[in-house]
Amino acid sequence: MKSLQQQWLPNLDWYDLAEASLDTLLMLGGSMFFTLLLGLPLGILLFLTSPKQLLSRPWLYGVLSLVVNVLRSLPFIILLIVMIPLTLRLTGTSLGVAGAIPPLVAGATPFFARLVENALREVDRGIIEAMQAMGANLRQIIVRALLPEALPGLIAAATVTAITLISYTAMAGVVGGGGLGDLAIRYGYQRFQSDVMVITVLLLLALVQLLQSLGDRLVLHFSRR
Amino acid sequence: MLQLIQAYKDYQLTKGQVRALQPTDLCIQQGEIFGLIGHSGAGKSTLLRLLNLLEKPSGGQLLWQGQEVTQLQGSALSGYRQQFGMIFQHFNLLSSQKVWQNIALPLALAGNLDAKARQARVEQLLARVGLTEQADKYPSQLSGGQKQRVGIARALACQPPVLLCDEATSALDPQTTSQILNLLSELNQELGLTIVLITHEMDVIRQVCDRVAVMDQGRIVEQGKVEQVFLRPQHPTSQGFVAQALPEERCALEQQVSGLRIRLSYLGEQSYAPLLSQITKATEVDFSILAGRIDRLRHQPYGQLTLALQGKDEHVAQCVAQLSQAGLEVDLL
Ligand SMILES: Nc1ncnc2c1ncn2[C@@H]1O[C@H](COP(=O)(O)OP(=O)(O)O)[C@@H](O)[C@H]1O
Ligand SMILES: [Mg+2]
Repeated sequence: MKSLQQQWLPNLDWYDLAEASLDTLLMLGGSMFFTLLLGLPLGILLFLTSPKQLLSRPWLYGVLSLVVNVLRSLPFIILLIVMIPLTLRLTGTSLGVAGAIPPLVAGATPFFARLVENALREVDRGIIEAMQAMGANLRQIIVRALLPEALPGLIAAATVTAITLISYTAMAGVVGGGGLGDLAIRYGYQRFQSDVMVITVLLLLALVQLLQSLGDRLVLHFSRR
Repeated sequence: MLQLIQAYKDYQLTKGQVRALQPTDLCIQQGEIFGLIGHSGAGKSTLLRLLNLLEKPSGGQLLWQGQEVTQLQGSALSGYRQQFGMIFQHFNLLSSQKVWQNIALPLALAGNLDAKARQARVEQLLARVGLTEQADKYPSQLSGGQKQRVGIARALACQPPVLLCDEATSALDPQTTSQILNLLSELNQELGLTIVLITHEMDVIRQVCDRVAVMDQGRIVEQGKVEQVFLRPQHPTSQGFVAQALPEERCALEQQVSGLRIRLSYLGEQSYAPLLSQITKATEVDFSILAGRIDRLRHQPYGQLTLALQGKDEHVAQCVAQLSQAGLEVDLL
């Protein structure tokens, strides 16, 4: 075993790898949590205020939509740097897992909100009409009809967002965020330790695959059409 | 029970606005089945949606039990809407919820029953529409007719006095349509349920309605008892719909048949009297039947026959006169 590792993975430090994996998972989990928390209401608001919908406010929708578009068009690497002062105020550090989470959330929330808006758009208008005819108020329409009906779409949106976040965490490594991406760049790229590079890439790939197949399964499970 | 007074509806478009409903007066009586018929775009759905205030009228008034309700807001508006059940062409069931959950939904929204009473009510409704076996299925596992039964059970869950039906049978095959119409008719009798239904098929009106309004281009162009509108349509649109129920007549009229061609309509007890043969015998007129239909207008038998009368001119004239004297409706074609 020892000799095999020396032959194929001479530079790999299992302790470093485990730590980096854990950091990646923490960044992913933490940023995913806040992205869902902020992105879901934002997406619902985008949907409701869009033209011809329940709260149709073309002006508000225009502003929200612009903000979302600006954040989405900003390359994540720029966002990371621009966000540093804000991150410092929010978490007290711009380094490590805690320092990476605010820019990750800022990058993923508008993306997720847009996907939520689209998923809600897929809900048949007739269902909203039926809910109104039953005397449902706005909250009841959202909680009892829109969200359950859009659930498969929302899960798919969350899956895509989680996978996007994985690639963002790799970039966050650049500004000292740690994680697998950081490991790959510091050892694999800068020190030409290609075994480290290959292993980290394989781990990231496995993570993406795992999330995607989990997401697909859930979507299938909740699709009743 | 429900009254529209000069109510109209404008929709804002990106450029200007469109008047979907011209100022309209309409009165719906308690316990009746009222039909609204018209071609697509005539404004039927708009009118129906004014009744439960899914749309606010742009002007005019809506009275419920004599009270003006046009300005209701918030929870008063929700409460008002709960007086109405509504069913739809495409059923509009929640695809993510099981049949029983769909039916329980309005009860949950109203929130005035505990879980046990709710379950009992759902079981009662399921039994009434014959879907007890399907309670745990999802809507996508049901046939069209079954879906509409779920729609009906859901609409009636809170025991509303009025049921609004927007093309409720338009997506169903003729046999299923008949079953659904029978169910509606039974519910009307059993519960005294007032029903307002929209359709573009005269047959639907014929089978279940007491009164009918014909709509064209945002206006009610004719309204009255079904037998009256069915047997003596005045407006061209109504005549078109009635002709729809007699599709063979047009073919028959294209044939070169000699004699005077008339359409004979009769209703109720007249259907059973041998008037036609007595009168033609007495006036020495022969007749051939070109087209015809013997059927029911809700509870009454009626018939419509297209005939060619042959004989001496004065005999034919006498025959026509006697037929009308006997109370039959005679139209010269
Ligand atoms: N929400 C709406 N916005 C704009 N125009 C509408 C809207 N709803 C209906 N209309 C228009 O109003 C007219 C009547 O529509 P509708 O009442 O749905 O007719 P029907 O149900 O008889 O087919 C149509 O010309 C339709 O295009
Ligand atoms: Mg319509």
